[in-house]
Amino acid sequence: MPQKKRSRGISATHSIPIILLAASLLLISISTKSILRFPGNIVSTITGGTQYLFSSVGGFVKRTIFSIRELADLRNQYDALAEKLKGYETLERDYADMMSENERLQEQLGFAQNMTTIKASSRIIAKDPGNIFSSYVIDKGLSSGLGKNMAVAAFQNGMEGLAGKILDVRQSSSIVLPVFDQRFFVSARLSRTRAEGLVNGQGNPDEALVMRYISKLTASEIQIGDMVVTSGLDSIYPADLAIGRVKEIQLPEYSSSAIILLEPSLNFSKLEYLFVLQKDDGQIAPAQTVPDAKAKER
Amino acid sequence: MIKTIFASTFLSSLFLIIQTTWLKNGLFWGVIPDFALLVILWVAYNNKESQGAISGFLAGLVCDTLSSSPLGYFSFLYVVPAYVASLLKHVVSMDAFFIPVILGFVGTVLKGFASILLLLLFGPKDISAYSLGDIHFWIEATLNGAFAPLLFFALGKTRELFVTRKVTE
Repeated sequence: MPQKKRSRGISATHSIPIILLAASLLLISISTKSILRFPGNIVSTITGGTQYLFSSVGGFVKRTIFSIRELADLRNQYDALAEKLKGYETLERDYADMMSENERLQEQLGFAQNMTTIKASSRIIAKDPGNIFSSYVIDKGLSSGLGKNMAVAAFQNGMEGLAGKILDVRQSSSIVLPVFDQRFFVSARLSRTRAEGLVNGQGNPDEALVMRYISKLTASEIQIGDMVVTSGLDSIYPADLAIGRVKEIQLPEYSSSAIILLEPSLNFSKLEYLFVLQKDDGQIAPAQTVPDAKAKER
Repeated sequence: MIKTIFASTFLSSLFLIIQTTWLKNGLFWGVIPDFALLVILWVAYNNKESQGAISGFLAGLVCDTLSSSPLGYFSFLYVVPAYVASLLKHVVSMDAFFIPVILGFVGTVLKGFASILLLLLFGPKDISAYSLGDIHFWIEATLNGAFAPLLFFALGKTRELFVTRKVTE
């Protein structure tokens, strides 16, 4: 009798994990085909809210602890900045004059307005729980009008660079797939030679981005340090967003195209804020050009 | 049994949320230790049935919703080490330091192998996996091994919550 009980226990120990492993595999196969969206969305809304709560609590505690020291620093900074402000007032007047002059020159040269429109500015509130996948969670979601596959950029060192795209949207948060993720692909071109290729990541922010499908003939014109920007040819990313600079050019013997390694234009370890962009789909432009055309006819 | 599964899933999920928020920049060289995995390993080792595997599965589902991974990915990754930990209890007996360190380290390595298996099964389009040649993977395994004695000690103090007692006991 005791032997029977033991064998029953051992079989349950083996069978339940096997059933669970099979269930995991089933879930992966279903979810990769994006069938199980609805229950996933409900749970992700709850978890997204919880992440937001934890991030807020953490932020509050951190701010409270550091606020006293910050007050003393702020007083010193205030005095220094008050001095600087006097100088900047003069510079501001000069700057306003230069801006108006620049606008006039731009009109004369027929420069198009930047196609990039910022849909929402957001803060990174969480990252991926493990070290396998690389994603960011931002504090804006459906309620801010964000949608799946919207481009995400960041400003760093005075430059607007492509940070990634929105992978999943929840009510008040979204998951961003960064440029360096190996599942990320973007149509790109070299800023100087205008040669086009496809850029994707290698899964690690410290590793170079890889640009492929550049012919070896074109590769001879490429120089180390050349800037690579988005081409704008796909339906997601606006044109001319900085992706990275050429770090290394590889010419494999087995292929007719070169492999170009890029140094990302953004330092992902220092990212705090992200800007969600909405690509100008060009629908507004024709409506605006009709009156212009009529005016010209007159 | 249900109480044990609920409590361990809740604690693992809590650790997962802490890992994504307070520890988002990593603890050492940008690497986040997997406290949730340690909880699952301890529960799997200390329970006589499949509580560890079930809570690993449920915590994995929570992890999938927090991550950009496909649903079911982390469930698989957590069930595999939990299953092995539940078998290990028949072979080795727990001590205060060495077994927790080995369990934390080996559990992470098993998680790594499970991720590679999934990559082979489903391809790189949707699945990412640990690279065994990447130093970050071994740092995570070491961190998990290092934190295991401390966490196992704390879990041992709240044993009533996380271990199902048999009626005969």
